[in-house]
Amino acid sequence: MPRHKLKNTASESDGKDNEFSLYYVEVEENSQGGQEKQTTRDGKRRRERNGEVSRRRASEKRTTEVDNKRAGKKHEKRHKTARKEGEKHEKRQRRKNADREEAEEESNKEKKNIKNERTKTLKRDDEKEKDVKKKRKKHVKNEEDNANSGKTKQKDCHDMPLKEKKKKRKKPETTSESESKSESESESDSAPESKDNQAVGVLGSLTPEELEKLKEAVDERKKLIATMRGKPWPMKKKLVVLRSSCVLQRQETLLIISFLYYSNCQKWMKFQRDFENFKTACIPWEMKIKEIESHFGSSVASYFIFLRWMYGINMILFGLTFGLVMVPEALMGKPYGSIPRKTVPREEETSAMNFAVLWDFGGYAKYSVLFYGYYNSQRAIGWLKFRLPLSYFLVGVGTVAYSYMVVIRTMARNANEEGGGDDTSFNFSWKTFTSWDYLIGNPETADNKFASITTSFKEAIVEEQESRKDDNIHLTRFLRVLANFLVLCCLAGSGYLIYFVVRRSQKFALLGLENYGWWERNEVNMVMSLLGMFCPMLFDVISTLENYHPRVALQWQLGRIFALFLGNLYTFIIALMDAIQLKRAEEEIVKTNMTIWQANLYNGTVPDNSTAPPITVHPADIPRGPCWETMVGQEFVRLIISDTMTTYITLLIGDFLRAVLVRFLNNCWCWDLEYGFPSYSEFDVSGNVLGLIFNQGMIWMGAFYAPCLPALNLLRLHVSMYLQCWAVMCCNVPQERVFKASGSNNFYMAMLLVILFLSTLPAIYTIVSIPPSFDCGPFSGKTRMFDVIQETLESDFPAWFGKVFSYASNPGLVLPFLLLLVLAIYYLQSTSKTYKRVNMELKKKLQTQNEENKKKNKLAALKAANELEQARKTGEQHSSSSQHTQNSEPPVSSTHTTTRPPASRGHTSSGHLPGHPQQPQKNSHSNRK
Amino acid sequence: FREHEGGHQVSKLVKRCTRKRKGLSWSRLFWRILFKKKMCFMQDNPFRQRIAEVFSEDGEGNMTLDDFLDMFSVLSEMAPRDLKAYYAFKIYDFNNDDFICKSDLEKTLNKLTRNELTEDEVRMVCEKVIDEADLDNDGRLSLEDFQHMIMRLLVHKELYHFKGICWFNTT
Repeated sequence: MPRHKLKNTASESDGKDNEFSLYYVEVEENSQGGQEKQTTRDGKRRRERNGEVSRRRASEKRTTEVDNKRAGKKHEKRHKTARKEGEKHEKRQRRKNADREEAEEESNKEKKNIKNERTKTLKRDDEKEKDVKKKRKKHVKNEEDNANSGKTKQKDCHDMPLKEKKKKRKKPETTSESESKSESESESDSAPESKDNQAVGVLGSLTPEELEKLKEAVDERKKLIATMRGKPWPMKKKLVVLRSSCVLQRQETLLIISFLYYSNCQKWMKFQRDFENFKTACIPWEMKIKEIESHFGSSVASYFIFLRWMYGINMILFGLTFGLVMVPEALMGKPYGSIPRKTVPREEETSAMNFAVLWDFGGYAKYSVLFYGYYNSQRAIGWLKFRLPLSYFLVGVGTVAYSYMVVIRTMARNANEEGGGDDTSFNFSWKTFTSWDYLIGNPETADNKFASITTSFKEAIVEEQESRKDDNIHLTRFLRVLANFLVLCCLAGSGYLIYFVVRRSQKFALLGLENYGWWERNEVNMVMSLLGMFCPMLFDVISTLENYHPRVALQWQLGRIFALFLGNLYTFIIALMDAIQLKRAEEEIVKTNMTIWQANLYNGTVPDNSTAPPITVHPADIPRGPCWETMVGQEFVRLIISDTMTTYITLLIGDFLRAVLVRFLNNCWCWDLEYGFPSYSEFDVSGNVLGLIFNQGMIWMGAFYAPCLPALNLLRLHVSMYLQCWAVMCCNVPQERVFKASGSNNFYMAMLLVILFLSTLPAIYTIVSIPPSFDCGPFSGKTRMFDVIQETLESDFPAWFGKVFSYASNPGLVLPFLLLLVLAIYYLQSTSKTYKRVNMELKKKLQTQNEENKKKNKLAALKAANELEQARKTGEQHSSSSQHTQNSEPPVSSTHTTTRPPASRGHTSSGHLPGHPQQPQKNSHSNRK
Repeated sequence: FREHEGGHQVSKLVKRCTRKRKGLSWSRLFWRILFKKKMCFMQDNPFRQRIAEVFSEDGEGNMTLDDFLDMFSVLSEMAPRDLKAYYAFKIYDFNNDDFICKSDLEKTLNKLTRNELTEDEVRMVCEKVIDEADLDNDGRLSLEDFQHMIMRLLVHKELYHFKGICWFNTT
């Protein structure tokens, strides 16, 4: 009789046991009708309960607040129902009590009749009973699961009347249970049988000790039933155990199952899960990306995640520029055609609506809110007195500042995640045993799951192989140095080529482009695109020399192509600067011409300088400057458009057409196209990421001069998301070596940061050092663009504010502040370094401890195995004898009875697992030692 | 397989059975009919055959209603962790020898990946799994090894609550 095993679970089901034992006592009282003992027993019961409470409080401190609350709620509910049904039960109860008193006087046979009666009544009130039981069951379950102390606390809080009601409600059940129990146990065990017989027989005169024993027996019974659900017995066996108890309990088993699905707890969990699903559904393109990830691995998915992130950033940039700049100017500013900067000049009017011109962002598009030049320099517009120039300036600065902030914050967060690391000690086992999601019910989802499991296995295998690989270190080192040298040569060569070509084109430009042919005119562009096409291939070939892990190889590749593309950027900026200088020279000429023109106008039409009405000239006829800002904006917009077009067209031709050709020409070709030379294309992660990054750089550079750029970029990203998702799924094949990339790649972010810095430099330079055009844009008439701040400070803020500001901007204050900042940065950096080191040390310690534990476990397991062998030898004799004694009983379940005594016969085998007669307990026991 | 559907089915079944029988012998229902009609979640499960075998009394996949209820009580999310772990172990133990050995692992892997891994890869993964999870160095996984592994997963991923009617959901 292994009682000690039961004790393990004792604390779990204590609450329930207490309850039932309590009712049991109550029944006896009723049957006796003795009122004198009531008081003493009550006191005893209370004492017991208090003991229980304290014990439970001591042992189960880990229960959470939430659980308490939940339990409390349920408890209250139960009370409500109890109160409702209280009266009915009371009536019934009186009848039953009468029955019972009669029954006690008579013999055991008649008792069975009563039981039948009772079951009838139970069936009659089945529906109501069920409700009550459900709740009670729930409650009990909660107790045993959470080992909760809340209930008992509640119990203490409640007054006696409630208790009385409860007791009365419970009485019919408990009596029948007790009887049935005595029956079942009389069938099975010898020790409890005697006790129970005693209990039935000598119910009238019970000593406290006997009562205790009885209670224990009942407790065990209850424990068994309570913990049965946690045991891996087949249902049949469970049912036999329960059925042998009584009809009522069998109904309860069914209720256990139905309860599992219809409890509040379940509903709450379901709601939570639905809410999670809803949250996932709210993340844009999450399903698409997951699908791609499951087929192409996390490296391709990382590109799409990056694209989505970029989309979010552009969304906010677009919101800022659209809401604070474009809409106010369009709604509240002067309408089109009121002033020269808002009208198409006379000479362009004929072609202003041509599609070719509009496509090039000339004509009407040029003279609209899309570009810098359209904006008026009026300080406050509309009835809101909206300070448009100030808003324009602040939005321009704000977008860049916001981008910096977001990029850096994301980088920091990613670094945090990387620092956490994850436990990979059971990586493969977890992948093998726990990766299938048993909730999947959709064939497509299942396909995706299969694919993703396969991909994750492949990724893990690649990682494992990489960590295992140890080749000739010297050779790889030499090869890596060689490869880097080659790449450096390539980069230097291409840099020189770009420099040379740019210089030559400047020379051509000075001499006039008309004298040269097509090649000379487009030399720079052609060289740039050729370099951009062939150098990545070259780098790819070179990187095979290095023999890096594919993830590291991707990073190198990205870095190299990035360096190459910087040349592209550099030429573009140089060309722009040249163009700006040209335009400014032109502007000077226009300025002088303008004064002459004005003088002519006035001289010609108004001979006398009197107060004659000013002449009205149509704004389209007034001469104007070239407006270099609009030109810059136009350049950027054209660049973005052409870039987008090339991306899409290469996607369609390079991927889709190739896939179609390979697919359909394969039938009539002399070699295997699908696995031979052309085959399907792989998704080019590095190229796409770089395209995205440079594109974003262009946006940051040009957004100040063309407020429409974020909107255009948003459109482009949106389209490319769908297009690329489609292209990847339909015409690309997964890479040969699928490797694991972290979803939030810090390397991409670092490159983005560099590009952001590089692109803000020229923008800031133009804003700070070049004076704005005299007749277009929100800053016309000012010497510098940032004068708008000065102006606002002077006219919109009180005088003292300006004073404070001027004091604050005093170098004597600014320099110490900067110094302080530098010091703070230095301090934070050094502390973070130490934290990192401590973290690493802790991790190392943990790892070594883990390994030690593993070794210890192995030793312990060996020892336990030895002990087990011995125990088995001795146990065989014992078990054979025990089986012999139990052979008289009918076999309960067909498959498992041979290895252990039937579980229905009580608590002897309560902890046993079928098929594992003794091993688990013994081993766990030894482990506990 | 969503759990509310499952709950619905089970409750319906239970109701029907209680109505039908009233204490008589359980009607014998074959799992194939049930699976085909009722349980959409099983049709894509790579281990469906194995689950049926484990839970059926005769070990060949013919399930009675008892077995059926049994299965649901294990698959339900309220079922205790140890119970789930025990049955998961039984499911992965294809040859019923109470240990997960290499052949069992290979079968599991092939079912999980639909035979898309090469033999070398499968062998490597098997070796890694046994190397990781085998605590007593006998070259195969016992129930304790398995349980230990699962516990570590739950502690590590902070998954004290099971998502859905699955064994242990890692994602």
